[in-house]
Amino acid sequence: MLKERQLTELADIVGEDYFSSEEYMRKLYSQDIAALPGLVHDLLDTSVSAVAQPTTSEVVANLLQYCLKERIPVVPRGHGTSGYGGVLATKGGIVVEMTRMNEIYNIDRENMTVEVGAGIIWGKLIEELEDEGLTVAAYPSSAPSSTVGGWVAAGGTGIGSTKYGGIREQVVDLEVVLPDGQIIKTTKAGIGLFQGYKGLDYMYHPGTDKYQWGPSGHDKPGDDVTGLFVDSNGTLGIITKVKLKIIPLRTIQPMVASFRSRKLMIGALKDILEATRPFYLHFITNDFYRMLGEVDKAPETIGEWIVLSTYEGSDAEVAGEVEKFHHFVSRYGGTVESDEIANHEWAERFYPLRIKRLGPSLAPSEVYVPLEHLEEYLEHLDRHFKGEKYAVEGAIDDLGEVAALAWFLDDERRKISFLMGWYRSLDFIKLGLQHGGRAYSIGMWNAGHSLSFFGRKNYGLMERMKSQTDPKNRLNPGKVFPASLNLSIRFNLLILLVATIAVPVVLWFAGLLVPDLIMAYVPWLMLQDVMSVFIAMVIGLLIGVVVVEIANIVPITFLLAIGAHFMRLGRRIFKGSK
Amino acid sequence: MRRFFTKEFDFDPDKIVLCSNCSTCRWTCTSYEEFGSEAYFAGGRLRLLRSYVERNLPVDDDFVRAVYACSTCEQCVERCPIKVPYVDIVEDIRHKLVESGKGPYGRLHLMGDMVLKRHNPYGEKPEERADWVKSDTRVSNDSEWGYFVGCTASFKRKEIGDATLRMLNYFGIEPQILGEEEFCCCSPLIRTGQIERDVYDEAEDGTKTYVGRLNVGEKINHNMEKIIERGIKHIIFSCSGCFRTVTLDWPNYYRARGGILPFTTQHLSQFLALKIKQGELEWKSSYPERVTYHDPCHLGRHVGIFDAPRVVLESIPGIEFIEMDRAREDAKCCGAGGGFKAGFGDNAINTAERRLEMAIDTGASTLVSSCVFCKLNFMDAIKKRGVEMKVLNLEDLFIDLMGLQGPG
Repeated sequence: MLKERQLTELADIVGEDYFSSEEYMRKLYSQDIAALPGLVHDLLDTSVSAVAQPTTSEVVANLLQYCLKERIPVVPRGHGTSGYGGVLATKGGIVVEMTRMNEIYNIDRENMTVEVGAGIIWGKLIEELEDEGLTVAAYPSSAPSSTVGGWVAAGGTGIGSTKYGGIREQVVDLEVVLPDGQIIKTTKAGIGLFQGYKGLDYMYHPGTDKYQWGPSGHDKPGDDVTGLFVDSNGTLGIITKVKLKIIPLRTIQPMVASFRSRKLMIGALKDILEATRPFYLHFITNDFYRMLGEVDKAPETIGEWIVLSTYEGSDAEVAGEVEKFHHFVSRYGGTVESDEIANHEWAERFYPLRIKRLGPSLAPSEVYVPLEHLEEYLEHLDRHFKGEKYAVEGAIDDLGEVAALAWFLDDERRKISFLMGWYRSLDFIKLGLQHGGRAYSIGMWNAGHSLSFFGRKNYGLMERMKSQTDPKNRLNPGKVFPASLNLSIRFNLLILLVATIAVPVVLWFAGLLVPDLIMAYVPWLMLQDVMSVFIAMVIGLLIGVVVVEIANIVPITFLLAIGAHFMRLGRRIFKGSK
Repeated sequence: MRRFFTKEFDFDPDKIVLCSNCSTCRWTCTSYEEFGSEAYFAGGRLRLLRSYVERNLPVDDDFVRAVYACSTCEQCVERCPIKVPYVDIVEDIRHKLVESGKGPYGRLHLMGDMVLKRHNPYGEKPEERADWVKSDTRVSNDSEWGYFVGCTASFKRKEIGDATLRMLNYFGIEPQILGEEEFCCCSPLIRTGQIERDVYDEAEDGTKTYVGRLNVGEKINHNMEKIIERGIKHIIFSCSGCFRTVTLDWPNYYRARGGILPFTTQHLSQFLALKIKQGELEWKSSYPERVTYHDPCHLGRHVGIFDAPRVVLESIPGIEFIEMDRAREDAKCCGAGGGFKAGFGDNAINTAERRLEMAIDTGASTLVSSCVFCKLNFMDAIKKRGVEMKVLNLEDLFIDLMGLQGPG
């Protein structure tokens, strides 16, 4: 918890209108999109002490400087529409919500870039650009609600990624506020930033202690380290401005084909990807399509395995691609569905959540799997999740990987069963990795996959920079770089209580069962009077303290890895019960 | 199963768990645009509600404020991929808050107090309700047609009542009005959750005296009885709020006939559109200006009337009708409804300003609407902004063009 003085000073830095420490705000900002099993909230403490909504990069810098000085953890946040725990606090502190920095600063038609505040919503940006005859090359399927900075921090692929790559490929330059309050441009920062040079060479805009800003420092050209900040979940610095690639707004032609079987659909996907350049290539499995049918969002098609392939470009280019598409669909015995259906599926690209009505809860999971292994992967899923109701969709990116997304139908009101069901999300990712895939996004829950996700070299660089600029791990702790659990106070107390009671009970039982053994070897453990019971309780309490200490240094990823096995078992037991 | 949610907020749990937190509703949310924080949009409020009910937190003022800072404009439901019935839920929360004595927010309770005492939320004298009727207009006591005037037109914007009556007279209809017997339709009370509660008079020294029990059902059934007694078969509305409430809410309180109202309801925009379709309306003069139309939330999204007012406008000779950037189902809210203007006056005007901006962008000289509250709020916004823009309701336009203005 922060002190009253700290809250006042923070409010002074951010501006009172943009700062809140009221209970209801703190509750709201202690969550992200994921409906976590309720019990998780009892175990983990994700609460924060205050919420700040800075309006300029300078405010962010002052805020970080202050928090560094006062040792306050900081959790940067966009609109919190990712479910990987990237915006959940693990050590308390404050949330810095970037949504007030939502302007379009500059549209550069010569270099085809746009510079925006990190907090702008994708949908809004696209609308504004379309008025200018432009558009972004890729956007997330959560475009109606997610922010540009949020996608940069969380990483991933989306609509347009089949042709133009994921968010990593879209970012040209970033303005980042480092944990010590320095504002840098990542294209100019230089690799030195990551190699431990403590000099001020890379400084772009120096700050002062008085929350005032002096004249600009000198820019020094250096290596482009932009890529190291993408996917970093704001652990290396808070992203305040983003420069993105843009493309001219041209014809968009969605095409939908349906196939009779998985094998045929995957064959067609491979050929379509090889022979044409779709803007967005996406598939829906038959189970998913049936579920969509149940909520009246699936128009009648010949087959139930649906492929949406959208083409973008000049009229002539698009016409050529569409012709090839027809050819490959017919080769696999598929049917090219009507324009009406194609437009429907294209318009539905933002709303996979429609099937939530059938849940009423959905547990999602996402992983990259190479397209060539997709078939075995989907078969493996069928075997592994026998008896579970789930749906899979996938979007293929420019590297030939499928961003496979699963939605497990569930009912969160059945608390135990829902908690146990969490293993499915973890297993979905694990199986994907077994089939040659990689994690989709890191956040908190996937922090154990960081090394394989970023690669040894980059991860090493990021780790070094983190240890240089933020040695105490105050900026978004627990994300990307695995950190220990922060158990809730209630749970800690529970452990202590259980240990205090358990030890005397165990000793009493031992005294009943094997009295001679105890009397022979450890007579002082025999419970004989009130005093000895009291001593046993004290011993229990001490053991409890040790357990609490150990539990609080276990990385969360370790817990999840072990827990998955228990949850799988538990799910089998509790699934049937209402 | 229901024990999972606490007694204080005894909702249908299915409604709350349905929301997927996807936040698609945030972008266009009226209150998010104004307050810019997670607690002030549909999905955020539901999440807030969940954390309160699941963790059994005591309801505090901040929560009440967040729940009441919503204009119930239903843009969220329109955008929601799962169609979570958000407005029903928020009205339900408000109802529960009032029941437990935590609501309504701020001074909204005055509306309820006044409705109990004087049958209108403004606290005006009930016997003056029909004072707006001018001598050269005609009402009758036996017509099948009724005109439900509503409190705002009766007391605050008398010209609307007058214009509507002149319009009906023009078509040879001499409607019945309930006059002193007309009570509030209870729209503001239902929207703010004041379904049933005790009303106290508070003296200056803080002592409270019990006045009586406010019961929305009683007011509604009184109106129903009077309407049925007078043999009214068709009711015309000039107020979108009254229209929405009578059409959608009254059946919940009318127990006879399985809740089917024994009369038809129509908004005057529907009435005019029908007259045009039947060829009974010939405009007497033209309106050679660029005009845009604002869809009132209660008329548009809530009841689904989008076409009728457009049919009327487009039939006017010389008119250049132009749509705003966001129109019909996608129309932006002006911020007047759902108790938002009553509870958050300045914020409501800011909201209207943003909508006004869209109207200005079309280059229109006239902003037409068909709701007394929208008109009121837009006029405030225009005053604040100091811009030139005419705000008219359909009935204003009608009597203007037909030369039906009364004396003075």
